[in-house]
Amino acid sequence: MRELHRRWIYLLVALALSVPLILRVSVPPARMRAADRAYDLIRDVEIAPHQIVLMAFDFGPNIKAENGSQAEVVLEHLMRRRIPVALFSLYVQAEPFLKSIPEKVASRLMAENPGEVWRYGEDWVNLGFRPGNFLVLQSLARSEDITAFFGKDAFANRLADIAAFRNAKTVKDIALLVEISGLQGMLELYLRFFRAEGYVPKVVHGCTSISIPDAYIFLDSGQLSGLLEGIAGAAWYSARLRKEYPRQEADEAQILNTSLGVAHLLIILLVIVGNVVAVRSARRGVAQA
Amino acid sequence: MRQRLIRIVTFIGGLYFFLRFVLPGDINGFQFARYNHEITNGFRAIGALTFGLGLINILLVHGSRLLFRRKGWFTSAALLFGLAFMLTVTIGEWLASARAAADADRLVMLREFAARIVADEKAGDSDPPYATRVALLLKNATLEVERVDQAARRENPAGDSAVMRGLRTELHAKINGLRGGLETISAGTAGPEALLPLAQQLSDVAATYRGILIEQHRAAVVSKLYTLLSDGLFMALGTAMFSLLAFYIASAAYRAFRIKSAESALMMTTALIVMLGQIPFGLWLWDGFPDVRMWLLTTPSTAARRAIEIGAAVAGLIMAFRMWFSVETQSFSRGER
Repeated sequence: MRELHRRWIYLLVALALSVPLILRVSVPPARMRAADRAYDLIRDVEIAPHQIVLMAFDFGPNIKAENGSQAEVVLEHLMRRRIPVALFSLYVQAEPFLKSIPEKVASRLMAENPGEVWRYGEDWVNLGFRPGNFLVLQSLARSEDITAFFGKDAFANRLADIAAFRNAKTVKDIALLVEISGLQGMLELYLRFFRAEGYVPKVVHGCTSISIPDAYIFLDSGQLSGLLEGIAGAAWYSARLRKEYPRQEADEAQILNTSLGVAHLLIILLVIVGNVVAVRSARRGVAQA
Repeated sequence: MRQRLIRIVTFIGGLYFFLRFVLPGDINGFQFARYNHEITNGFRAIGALTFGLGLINILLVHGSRLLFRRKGWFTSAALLFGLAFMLTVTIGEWLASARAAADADRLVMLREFAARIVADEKAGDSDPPYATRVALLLKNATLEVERVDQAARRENPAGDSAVMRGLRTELHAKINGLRGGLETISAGTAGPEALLPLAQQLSDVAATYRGILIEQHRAAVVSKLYTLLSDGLFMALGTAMFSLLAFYIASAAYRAFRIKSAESALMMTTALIVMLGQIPFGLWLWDGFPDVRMWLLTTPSTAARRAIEIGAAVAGLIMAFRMWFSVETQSFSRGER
């Protein structure tokens, strides 16, 4: 056991991760209270006709499994409630997600609800990747005409002509900010700069598992109104969606969470076995001495 | 001289952002941040230029390796080919969407023309004459409506989606309404009040036509090629690279996570509780794991993280001052003082 070659460990990890994915098995996720707060906020948020929700996708393909699933479940909830959403990113690698995720969610909703239509321009608008990091947020927060500030969407259409966005004037018309990222320091940028005189937005954040301790500081201080903690947060959010909208099929978040749960179990097992082997070896060494 | 210039610009830049943060928006009529939008746009433009710099750097490094057949020239050739191909497809996709947007904008321009005629008439501006402008508007609106009607009829060979079918029906109804509106207005008799509903109808047709163009663009070859490269290659490769971590973590957990002291035992117990509180199977053992996990994260972990963050913030502040006063010159002085 002490000389257990790592290729066997790799094989076990591959099996633990892939079997639930291939069989599409999902088990009920653990309750995430921070995700509950995010869900309740989005369920109860009231949007005036001139208001929108801003969703920032600041993640790349490397953390798509966690952040992508979070983006999907939150966007689905907003779309189900017919709340217009503006999507944008400060991270260049997120650009393809701004297009693919809403299209995927809209297609799923239309397949589930024949006769109902979710359309680009009415239900969501893609503002694309915006270079400039915190300068974008600073300028956006101080802008007196955010339609003019963004100018055009990712497809070069004038925002003043897009139904979902044309009535929004200032940053105060952004009723809720959903920031999804696993990048170090990205959430802090929004918390520092995305605010104006007399306006502090409600913020829901989706983070990767590794950045949960960082995000909890802001949840505890009240700067975050809700938090989706890694894939577990997305899976719990998805479970609540399924409860409220029973026709919804099992989605990727719950299957990924199950797969990751099996891998975690394996890691726990390996840690225990590793320690037992180490203790036994140490005892044997003492006995021989 | 160059270093002195860098120091002066750095100091002025730092001073501007510092004062902008601490000064009120209006000081007896003087607005310190009056040109802030232009300044920040300048910084954003410089930030965007770095993409170009990166591109030039890649071309220089890998282009020379390929040209002189140095070691690894084949991988450089693959990289440059991938770069050129992705760039071509992305530009093609962007141009196609820009063309579609410009197409819908022609209707929007007519709407704005109608609104301008009304505004000028109310203001008493009659050059060129009102009737001439209305005649021009009606002529172009009629032509544009026919063009849009024809363009929107182009069907996707693979079949239309439910969204597209709905949009076509909607556009057909709106075009019929617009045609009716155009027929009832004649250049000689139409007053400004008759042009406002026409402007609204043009706007409505433009909105639906834009939706059709977006759907057509989505089904276009260049758009599908972009999706294939982005989702099929870029995403898959990026995800695969990161997923390798799972294997290393598992292997490291087996070999390195050993209880050697009371502290390491405490750390391992905490890690196990956090893991069991987050995974679905933890509930099978004890349904209190999520609550204990939550307490660990909100209380001891948050306290420790805050201490780290405060320490890092103080260090960051000191670093900022060193940069501002050019004490930290290593990065642009090439070692000389």
